[in-house]
Amino acid sequence: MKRILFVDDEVSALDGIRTMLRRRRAEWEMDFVESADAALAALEKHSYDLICSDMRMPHMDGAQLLSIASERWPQTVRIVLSGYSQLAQTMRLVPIAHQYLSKPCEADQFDNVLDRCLKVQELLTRPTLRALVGRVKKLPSLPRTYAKLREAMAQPNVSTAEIAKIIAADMAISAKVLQLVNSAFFRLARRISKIEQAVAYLGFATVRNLVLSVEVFSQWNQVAAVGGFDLERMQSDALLTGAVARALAADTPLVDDALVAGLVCDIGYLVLVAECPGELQRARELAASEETPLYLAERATIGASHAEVGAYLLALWGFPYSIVEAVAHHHDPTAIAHTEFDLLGLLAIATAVTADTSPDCDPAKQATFASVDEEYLRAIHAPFTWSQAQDCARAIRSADDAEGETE
Amino acid sequence: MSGRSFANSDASIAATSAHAATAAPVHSSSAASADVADLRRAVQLRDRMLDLTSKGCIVIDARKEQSSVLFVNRAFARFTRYSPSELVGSPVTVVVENDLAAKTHTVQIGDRASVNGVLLEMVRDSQDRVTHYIGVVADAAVQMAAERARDELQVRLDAEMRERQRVELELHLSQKLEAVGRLAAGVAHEINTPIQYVGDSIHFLRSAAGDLERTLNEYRNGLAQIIAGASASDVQSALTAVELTNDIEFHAAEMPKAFARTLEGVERVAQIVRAMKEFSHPDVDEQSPADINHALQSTLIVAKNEYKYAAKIETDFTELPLVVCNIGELNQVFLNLLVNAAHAIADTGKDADTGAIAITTRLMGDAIEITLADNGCGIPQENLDKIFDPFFTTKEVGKGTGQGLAITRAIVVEKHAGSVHVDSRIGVGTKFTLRLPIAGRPSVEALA
Repeated sequence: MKRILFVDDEVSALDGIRTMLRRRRAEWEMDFVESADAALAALEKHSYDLICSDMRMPHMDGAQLLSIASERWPQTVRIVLSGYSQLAQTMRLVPIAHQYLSKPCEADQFDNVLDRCLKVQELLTRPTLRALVGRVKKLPSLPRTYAKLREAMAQPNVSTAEIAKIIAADMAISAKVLQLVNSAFFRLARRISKIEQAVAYLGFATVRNLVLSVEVFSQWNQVAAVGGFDLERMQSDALLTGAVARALAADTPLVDDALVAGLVCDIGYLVLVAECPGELQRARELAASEETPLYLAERATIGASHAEVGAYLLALWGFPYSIVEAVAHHHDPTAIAHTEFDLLGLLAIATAVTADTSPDCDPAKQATFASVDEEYLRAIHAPFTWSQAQDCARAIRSADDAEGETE
Repeated sequence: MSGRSFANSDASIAATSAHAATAAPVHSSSAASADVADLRRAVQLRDRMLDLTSKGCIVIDARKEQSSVLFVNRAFARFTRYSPSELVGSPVTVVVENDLAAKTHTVQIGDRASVNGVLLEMVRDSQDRVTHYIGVVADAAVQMAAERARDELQVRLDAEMRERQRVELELHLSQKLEAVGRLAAGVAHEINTPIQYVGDSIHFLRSAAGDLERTLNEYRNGLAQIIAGASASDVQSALTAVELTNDIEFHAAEMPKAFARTLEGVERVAQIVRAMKEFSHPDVDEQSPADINHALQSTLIVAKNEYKYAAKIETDFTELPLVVCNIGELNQVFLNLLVNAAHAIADTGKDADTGAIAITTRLMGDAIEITLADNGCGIPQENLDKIFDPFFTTKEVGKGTGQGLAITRAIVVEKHAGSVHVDSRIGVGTKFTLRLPIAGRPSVEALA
């Protein structure tokens, strides 16, 4: 039985949720309080798996409540359900809440989000995964420049110049970001030579995500190539996946998260390559000999796959649960009940189609993505067909290859 | 045309000047013909000399009731389309120009010409009667340049005035947009909350209806079983289990509340939408009779999100006659004052329990009075006379354009012939008092 706490200063809002979620009474024990003070008192008394709070409330608002909760009860999933839609963008950047929902939120979607957040929580607290990360002496920390950017972007009225200044403070990062911005992935009409231009041209979110990938991979460099891992190949695959995900998500609200999800979906290897290269090697051999997907072989030999380890790391870094979940299940999206084209579906399709269109596509990888096919696309109402997704991935790949030749 | 005409004196004096061609002989003495010839020669020389100067010269004969031109030189004639000889004898009117500082006059020559900027000197006889005027006027080229410069200045001034009007209109619009934009976010929130619980409640009602239907079917089955001879107590215990599975007790308690909540939520949304519609009354220039109390209520509904965490509202409205006004503009005024009050209270750290905004309406003879008082931070004495200035704001950048009160004043004072008065004490609060004439702004005809 999971325990959930709902906080809203409107009694009617609480009553609405209480009656609507009555159908979950066998699985969830739900408490309802009308103020942040009452919520803190409840949190003191019981251990909650999830807290779902309104934003604007008298005395203490939702942001204050959730930041206290994040410090004192970090295991509790935090969800914001607010009527302030303009806050959504800002809030998503601050790791106060794991998920942000706007009122009005459709009842089934609300139910689904709560359920999925609890599942992610369950996955993150799974004993095998905990045992594995418990072995790790020091988990990679949230990249520094990315952390600074995230903090700066959470401020209202932050300027392009201020954002550019943070990136430019690290020469290596800014050089790499400019290189990426000018790569074929973005197909920009003109060459960008200054970080400030890049920020203005691509927007805060995209540049921030590029910085993240650059920083993550520079940390990876220090890990050094162990166990025959082709680091450069992985990095270019990550970029490709990110670019494909972004292209597939064009004109949908997922576009901002698409790039970052693609860039970080294999981030779990950052931990695995450093901590258990031997087991990782055995997993690869097992996958090849048994013709099973690599992530399942990893689970068998290590106790958790790179997807789950990556999800754990991202959760630790304060990423929204939608990204954490997408990364955790990008190889087995059907493990999560979902019937809409969401980030999980998008990332699963992007990774599958990127691998599928790879010129040296190996059969083991193919098996990995068995669950993602034409039927899956229909089931989640993807706004494109499998062959359209393939065309998209091929176009991005060939643009990248052409770029490589001219440089 | 203002200014007074110089009355013509009909007193005659000896001519001091005459045009050679037309003037009467100066001396009648026949014994001094040589002198006369000399004198004529001198007059001719003098007139030629006057023709050479670039200044316009005129002599006006003011001895008759109708003054007339006695002499003009060529430079003067150049201001007209006539020759000097054509002008001589023409009737003349002299008018003092509006520009008193310049001490110049306009000389109107019949219906033929009008010459501005003439410096006139009166010539008087021994009885101190004005007999003649001698006038000098600046060179035509200089005069025209001056006039051109003046025209140019006028054109520039007109352009500046138009620009000023345009900017004022734009500021007015931008302040309105600012207010509406702020409202839109607040109203969205005020609507989102009821929509959320209406939706949740309907979801619940739908599933509860399903549970009730299933239970009803079980009861029908049970009834059939009893009729068929089954033991009533067996059926009863089976039905008790059915009721438990279908959560009947909960539904019985919660369904009426869910219906009430749904209806209340829908009414709340409808009320907000109605108020919004009234608030955003289309802008028309015309003034028409409106219910000020009702307009204040609408503003309070649409702006609820602006103040609900800062203050409670105390209203004391007296019945008012309809006031001829532009209610859309007045709504903007009410919103500005309300939002300012809420901000002033929020600045003191007060909340809905301790903050208060009191709004009253009163009938005062042929005017109505609206007061809006808050117990916020108050306005420092040194700022009190600046708050109605455009762009004056103590709010941080991005929180206001500094136009709110300037526009409030413009709307109340200029557009409605009303008044705005402010009382404020630091730490105690601020009270705005508006007065509006019931009959509206006097029409232009009424002013004339």
